[in-house]
Amino acid sequence: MEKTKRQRSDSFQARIRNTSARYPRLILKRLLVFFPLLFAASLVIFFSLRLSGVDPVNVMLGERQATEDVIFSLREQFHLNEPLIAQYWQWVKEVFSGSFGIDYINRQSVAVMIGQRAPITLGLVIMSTTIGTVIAVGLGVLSAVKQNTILDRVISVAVLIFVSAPSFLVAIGTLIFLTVFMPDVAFTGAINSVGDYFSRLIMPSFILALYMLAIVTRVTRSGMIIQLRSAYATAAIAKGLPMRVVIWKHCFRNAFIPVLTIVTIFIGAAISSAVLVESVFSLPGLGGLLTQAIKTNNYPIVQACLFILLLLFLSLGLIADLIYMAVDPRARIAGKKVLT
Amino acid sequence: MKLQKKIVLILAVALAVLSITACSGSGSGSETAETSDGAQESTEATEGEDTEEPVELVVAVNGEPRSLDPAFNYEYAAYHVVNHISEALLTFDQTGQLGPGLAESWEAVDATTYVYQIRQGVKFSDGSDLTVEDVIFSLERLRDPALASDVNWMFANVDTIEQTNDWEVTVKLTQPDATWQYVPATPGGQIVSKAYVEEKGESFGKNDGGTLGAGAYKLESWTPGSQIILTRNEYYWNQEDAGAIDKITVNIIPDSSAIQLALESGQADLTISSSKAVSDAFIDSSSINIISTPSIGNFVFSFNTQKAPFDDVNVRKAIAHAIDNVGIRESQYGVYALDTTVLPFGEAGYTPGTAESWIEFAGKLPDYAYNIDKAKEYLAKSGHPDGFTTSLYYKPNPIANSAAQAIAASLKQIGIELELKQLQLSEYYAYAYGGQITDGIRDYDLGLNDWLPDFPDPVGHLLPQYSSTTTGAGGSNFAAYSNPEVDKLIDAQNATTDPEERSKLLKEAFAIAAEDVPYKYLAYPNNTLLLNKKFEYELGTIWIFNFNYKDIKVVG
Repeated sequence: MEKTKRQRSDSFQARIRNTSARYPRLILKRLLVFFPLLFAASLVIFFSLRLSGVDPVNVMLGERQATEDVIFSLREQFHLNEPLIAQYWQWVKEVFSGSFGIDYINRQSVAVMIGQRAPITLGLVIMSTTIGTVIAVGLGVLSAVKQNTILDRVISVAVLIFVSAPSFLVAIGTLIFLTVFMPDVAFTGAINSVGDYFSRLIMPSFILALYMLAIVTRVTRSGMIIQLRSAYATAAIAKGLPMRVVIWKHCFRNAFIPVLTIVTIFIGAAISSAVLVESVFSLPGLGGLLTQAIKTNNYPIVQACLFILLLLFLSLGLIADLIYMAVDPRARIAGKKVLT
Repeated sequence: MKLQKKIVLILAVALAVLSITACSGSGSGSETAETSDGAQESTEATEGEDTEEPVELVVAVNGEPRSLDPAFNYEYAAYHVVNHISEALLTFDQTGQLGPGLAESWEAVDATTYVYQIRQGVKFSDGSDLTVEDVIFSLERLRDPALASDVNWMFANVDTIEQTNDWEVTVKLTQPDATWQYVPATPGGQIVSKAYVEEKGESFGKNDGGTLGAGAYKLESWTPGSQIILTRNEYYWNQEDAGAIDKITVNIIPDSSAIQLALESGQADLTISSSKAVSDAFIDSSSINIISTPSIGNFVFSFNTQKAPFDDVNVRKAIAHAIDNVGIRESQYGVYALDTTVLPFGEAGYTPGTAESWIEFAGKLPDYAYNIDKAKEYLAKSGHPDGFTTSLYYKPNPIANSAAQAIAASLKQIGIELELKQLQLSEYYAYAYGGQITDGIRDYDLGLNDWLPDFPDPVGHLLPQYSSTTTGAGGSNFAAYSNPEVDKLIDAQNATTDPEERSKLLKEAFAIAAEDVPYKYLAYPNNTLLLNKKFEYELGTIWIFNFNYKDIKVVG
């Protein structure tokens, strides 16, 4: 009996030791699921957009008169006279060539338009999630440590207020505050330098960050409370470890995993809530491009944006899984079991 | 406890550091702005006293131009930029009269032959010469269906465009067309450099290719999605009339409240007001003037006259009488619009010289004013005395939405149930511009539309909205109205070049149409400009084509 138990524990240790070698194989297996998923999604995106029945020629012509010759020429140029399946194949080719096609309204390469606007949205998302995570984790740990004190309650209420205020309202409010009290702070115009970039993005990033505060703070708090109450934490405190070490080195590491999951979800949410904030702060980002394209049925842009967003979500999921494996040895074994 | 205090301290420091970086982030922005100002001042000081500070005008627009190519210069966002870079062969004055531009004179030899004398010695903004070849290339390019330019339809009746002398271009039409005289003053007559277009190829007009014209300004930079900067064209041919503004910064601000705040804080000097609420916000402003002038456009309720029950003139008259156009004008536009008659245009659309007679003429026509009793009377006479259920489509905008609600409430009084269909923009375009036609009949019952005529002439309303030739695909006859007598009169006025004769024929056509009521006009909205008091400008009736930055005066 004793021997088998020991053997089992040996093999457990060995498996953990060996996981670094299996890592590449795990990644490979994840990727094998990744690509078929992407292909299926591309089909759904392309054909569901066409369900609306809007004729792209009307999108191109807009509120203008046109002759039959022009209508015919546009149909030909954009392959609209071909069957849908051929149009889909055309799009797949364009995706692989990296151009993502020509948009209906500006008649410009979609990849170029997305490339011009990506830095703004990327900056907003990275800055807001970083700011949001740092503040929320700090507040969460603090309220867990100070559990059920006045400070804890103040934090809960404050955080609730932040999340309840719609971000566009906060954005307009901020803008009004700026025009009244700091008229020199520019909120319109072009971004010409790195300094401009940060000064224009910091406010909207803060506003976006508010949105994720409530949930991330809550998750951190509850996770930390469980960890702080656990036997190992009591043991660590009892043996005289400094509280700082108990909190950050032992408890927080274990409480961080669910926080990580939530944060990756919020990166996705930040992209969508960036839309309103971008528009209020006159930032030329992807959000504005996408909403405008949806409003005008500009399919080439909509499908490219959706495809890229999907790619991003799937990649984020993949990255999150890989981080779990790095942080939590159990996930490595579980991952292996699931995948083999 | 001590340890916990430490944690609190660490967190507090972390928060403080964060907020400091945030402040220094926005702070550094204003700092750089200050230093650049300082640098400017010092260079001015060293250059001496006779160099003045360049005059900059900051314009706020809510959308980005699709392109700077005149071929796609047929939308509000583009007029702010392209009209000032690429000048046209002719120009409109503030009242809509034609004047010389890159053509110093022109003549209609007969109803199908127009001759233009191109101005000599004009240079593009890079210093290269503007030749007759550039002129012909630009016009031919606009009428090439492969380019699918916005103004292609203007060239529908053009047969040939040829050089007939050293500096002379002759345009021959396949049939008489009274609208052609105006085309050279619109984006349809804007000239670009042939060499530049050929060099840039696909990227011409886009933000990576730019454009080259012979207007008063040239493109300095275009930051996609946020800013376009124009500076003086040093080679501009008309130096005496080059204006006071040295630099125009066009900022793209999608949010209307952000535009309002930008004007208030002085970050923008000029914008075209998007609504009554935005204009009203500046009534007591110390820094912004509201400049509002009548326009030639309209906001209109259209019957699909091809489709039952609206093929019955008594049903149309009943509905026209049931709609309170004055109430709609008041609540949606306030003072920024004029009340309507049965004609599609208000005082701005009346041709000068014959103005008095157009106003008198409008007075003689039935006005279909709001009157529920009359509405009931007409409905009783019609084939549908007990009312019916029908639908109204309109654009996704607040004015159309409120007007639609008001109309639905009015029509209920005479027993007509209205189903409201607020469409997406592209579906709206498909309905209004003949993209949805089944068996030759447009697929809708009633619509709310806007119409801004392409030409400052009654025919700019009559041809696209009352002619049977514009009911099909790509056409803008919202009422699908066709009456052989009106068609005949449209042809007749095209064939004559005598203004008095034309005006008589046009009136006959409108008199017939007034009896048929294909449209009920709801308002003639104004052009409304918000301009910083540092500047002065007289806004014309057709600002889309004759709004010129060079005409803006600097106060003081």
